[in-house]
Formats: sequence, structure tokens, C-alpha cells
Amino acid sequence: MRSDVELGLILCKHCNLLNSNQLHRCRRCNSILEQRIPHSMLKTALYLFASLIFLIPANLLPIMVVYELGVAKPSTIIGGFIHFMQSGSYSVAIIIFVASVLVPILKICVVAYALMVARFRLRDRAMGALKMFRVVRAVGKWSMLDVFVVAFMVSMVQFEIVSSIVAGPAALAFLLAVIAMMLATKSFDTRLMFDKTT
Amino acid sequence: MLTSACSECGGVVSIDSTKDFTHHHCPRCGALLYHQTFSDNFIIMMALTTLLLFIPLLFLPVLNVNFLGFSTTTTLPKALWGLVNDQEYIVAIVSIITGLLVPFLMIIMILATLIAPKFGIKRAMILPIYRVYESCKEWGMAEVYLVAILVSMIKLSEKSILEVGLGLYLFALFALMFYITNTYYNPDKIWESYEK
Ligand SMILES: [Zn+2]
Repeated sequence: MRSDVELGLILCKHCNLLNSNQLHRCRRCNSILEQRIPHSMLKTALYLFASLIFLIPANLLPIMVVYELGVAKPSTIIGGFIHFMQSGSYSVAIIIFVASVLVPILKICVVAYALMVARFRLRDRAMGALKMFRVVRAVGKWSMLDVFVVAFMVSMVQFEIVSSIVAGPAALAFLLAVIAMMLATKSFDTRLMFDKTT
Repeated sequence: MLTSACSECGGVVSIDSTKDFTHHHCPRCGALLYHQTFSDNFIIMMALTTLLLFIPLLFLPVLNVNFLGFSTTTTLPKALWGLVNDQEYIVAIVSIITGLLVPFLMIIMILATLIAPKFGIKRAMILPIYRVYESCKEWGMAEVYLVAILVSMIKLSEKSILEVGLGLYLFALFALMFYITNTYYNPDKIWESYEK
């Protein structure tokens, strides 16, 4: 199969019309044509790095602090998983573990791998990398689950001195990690993995 | 026959648009290249229903929590905006945007791009709307927020008595309709209609 680059064609990313690479704007929808996402690999690498940095405080610092009769009980993401395991709610524990711990780590590995495939032109690995990348892209926004849970708990549990919940610094760190990760997958042009060296 | 290129692997492929395929995948990487879906009118109906569900969501109670005689009731916007009291402005703003504002705007934009051509409005007018829709597609997270409420309920039910409000059922329906409308919304038809 020959690629758009080899045949001198550019795909319009808005309306999916194939244009000649002599054109600068799509002849159907008049959008600016780009063969590949500009600076795709650099942008992906930077967002990926940012996500990795934010993930450290996100997991180590408390995501919310529960006050009961004036006593503060900070809880971390890992702590929440352990709590549900001990109380026997295995399904909830597994959801938390997969969504907040396993998925972010796996996502970073997959995108880093795809980036390697594109950078070093490992074309025979491209198919495998693309399949994994698709999964990562599809589950991207589900990592916001923890942030939403904290937001909801904070607004629900406001019972004066008896019990109240305050968001911890990890909520913001986690949010930033998720956003950085979504931007990383959005910036990555998977076609770069299949392109031949010219 | 229609020649196109795969947006995921860059391969140039020909699509036999005369055949009655509902989905056309890239022969190399399997990416979805083209799919025929329900008629525009059906999508418009779905989008309108989603929109109708959205309005009461802003006012109806989602959940009532009773803890040792203390009780709080919340609506969806209040819950999303909740973190603003903790000075967690960024989290509060992002939550309200992704959980409520973007899903709402996406439905409005779907409606605009489908209804406008019926009144003979030029493509130059619709294109900017579609571009905005495209760029905010990933940021509409109604379904994620719905699951977040359910997870919170499990957590809260350990210590307090919960009373589910009508708002939660409506929100579940809204999230479902929102998901279906976005899945079956096919912008290719917009471009096709310009070619005639
Ligand atoms: Zn392909």
C-alpha cells in the first residue's frame, strides 16, 4: 500500500478529501492543508513528560481530606484502593486501581513506545503500536473519574463540624496529568509510524 | 469509486461507495474511514431530545445525603462547581466545562451543522462551527461524570443514607443520549451535500 506522501497527496483533516500536495488549502472546505501534524513528535514528548511529572504528586499527596469531628483524615489514591480491598468491595477497588494507577502508567508506556516507533522508523512495529495507541486514546478521558469523584464528594459532604471533605493538592495534580496525557495523544500523528524514510 | 487516504496510517485506499457498506475500514490498519448512519432527521431528533433532558438537569436534585440528621441536596451544576469553595478554582472550572458546558455546546453545534444546510446556509458559515465541535469532542465528559457520581454514591453509602433524586435518572438518560448522538453524528454528509 502506498502512502499519501509517496503519491503527492494531502488528506484534509476536516473533511477527509484528498488534495494534491501543490495546494495549500482544501478545495472543498478551504481548510489549511497539512501533510502531518506540525512538530507532532516534539509536542507529544513534551506533554508526555509533563503528564509523568504531574502523576508523582497526584499519587503521593492526599487527593481529599476527610474531617470528622475536627480530626483530619487525608486519603491518597492508593489509600482508597486499599480501603475498598479491606472492606470487601473488590469491584470498586479494582475500578479505582485500574482507572487511577494502572491506566496512567500503561498510557505513558504506550505513547512513549509509539513515539519510539515513529522516531526510529521501526515500521514493522507500527501496526502493534497503533493498536495499543488506539486503546490509550479511547480511555483517555476516563482518567478524569477520580477528579470528578473528589469534586462530587466535596460538594456532598458538608456537615459542619461532624463531617466535611476538602479537596487535597493531588486533585489538581491529577487533573493536570490527565489533561497533559490527553494533549499528548491528540498531538501524536500515528501516520509518522508508517512513513518511509525519504 | 472514491479515493481517500487513511487518517491513521497514511495509506491511500479506494472506497467503493456504490456498495451498501455501512462501515468502511482501512485494509491495512483497520481504521474507520467512512460510515453511513441514520438520516440527518433522526440525529436531529436525538440531539433535540438530549437538549430537552439537559434543561431540567440544571435545577433538579441529583442526590440527597443524610448523615446523622444533617442533610445536603445537590444539583448537577452545584456539585461540579463545588470545589470553588475550597479555592480549587482550576479543578472547579475544568469540571464544570467538561462535565456540563462542553456536552451542552456539542449538542447545540451538532444541531446547528445539521439544521443550517436545510435552510440553504453556505458551507463557509457552518465550517467554523464544525471545527469548534471537532476540537472540543474529546472534552465532553458527561458519561465519565455519571460514573463518578455512582462511585461517589458507593463511597457515601457506607456512612450515610442516600436518596436518589430525579436529576440523577435524567442525567443517566442524558449521558446515554449524548453518547449515542455523538457516535452516529456523521459530518461526512455535510461535505457530501456541498458536492452536489
Ligand atoms: Zn489505515
